[in-house]
Amino acid sequence: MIGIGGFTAFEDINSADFLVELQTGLQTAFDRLVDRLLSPLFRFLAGDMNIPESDAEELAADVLMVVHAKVSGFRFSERAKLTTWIFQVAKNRAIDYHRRSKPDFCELSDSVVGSDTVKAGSYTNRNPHLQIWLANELAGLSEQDRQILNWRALDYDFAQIADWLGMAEGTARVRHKRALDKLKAAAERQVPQGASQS
Amino acid sequence: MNEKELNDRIVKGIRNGEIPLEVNDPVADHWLSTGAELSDAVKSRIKSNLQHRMQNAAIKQALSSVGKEVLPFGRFIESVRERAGLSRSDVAGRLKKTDEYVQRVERGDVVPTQLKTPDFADLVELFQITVRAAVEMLKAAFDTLDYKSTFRASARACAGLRNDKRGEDVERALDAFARKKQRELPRPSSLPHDIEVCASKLQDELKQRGRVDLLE
Repeated sequence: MIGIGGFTAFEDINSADFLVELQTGLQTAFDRLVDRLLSPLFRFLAGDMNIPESDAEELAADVLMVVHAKVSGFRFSERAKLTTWIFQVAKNRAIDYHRRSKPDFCELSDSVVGSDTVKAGSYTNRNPHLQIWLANELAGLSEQDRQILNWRALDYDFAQIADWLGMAEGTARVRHKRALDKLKAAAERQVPQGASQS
Repeated sequence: MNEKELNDRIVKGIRNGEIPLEVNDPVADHWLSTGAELSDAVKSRIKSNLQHRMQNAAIKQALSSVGKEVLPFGRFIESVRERAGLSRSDVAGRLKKTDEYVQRVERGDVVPTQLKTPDFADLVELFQITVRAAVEMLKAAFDTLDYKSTFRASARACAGLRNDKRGEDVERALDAFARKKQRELPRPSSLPHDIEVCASKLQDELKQRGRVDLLE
């Protein structure tokens, strides 16, 4: 499991005492949460999740509504911190946003646990064959290799990724290259069948 | 397929939810610790949006707990508002009106047929009232208003009500009594003209606002 590092700025928000205040419906606690999280949530939605800024405002409010309604189900002892759960909700809402224009749209659940597992390939609008293939290939990689590829694709730098995974930057670079080469080689074998759908 | 193309496809897959992206503590902490704060104007806009949505959700929940008795329009608004935990100022803020305006509507001092159609539609939209339900409440409001005037005069004549400075409880009691008496009388089958006109204008206004959900 990935180390958390020395981050402390949001420890108060992630404390058991604050969670109790939030879960008992204390308005001042929710207001504090909103004050602290608005900017980071907005940046995440507009950044990693590529939501246009005008819609990111709407979506940020949407995320906080969900948090308000469902925070009572969040358990302090579970693997993710409160702030991490909130970002998971934001990620799911952003995915819903991107899917909305697509034919088979259905909303992701905001269950407190296990919100990361998504059925691959159901919602592609163009070139579905290659997207399904890619999702399957990634699923076949080790968890760390998959994370390195995903985070690199989202433009995180190697130093950051290495820090999160508790490895040297050089190691992260080498593993990224190997995983990428593996994908490219697999793509070479795959593209002749998928190319017609590009 | 080159690296850029693969990366583009991975990003697309992540954003569509086809490729699972683990948002774990380090990723969340990264976004919590980097980047600039939003401007006050943007923050204020998002907070206001959030507040409105929370109020709407509270009203929706309150609506499900209101009894089946048809209340006069104003009393219905008051009942839902209180159950939703909203103050008159909250409602006044949403309607861009004063607290006194809300109070007068709730007490029935102003009946919706006297309101401008957009103002009436604002109330109907905020409290998620269908046209059909609004018509029933308007009828109840009209009936109650007549009776209340009579009882108020009687109460004053008997020195039960010393002046026109009416407390909320007195008003509610008069309303309740008037409703009780009204139920004992046969109701006219036709809709009063004022209500018919008002309902028709309301329907047009809601259509223009795209609130087809309230048109039933």
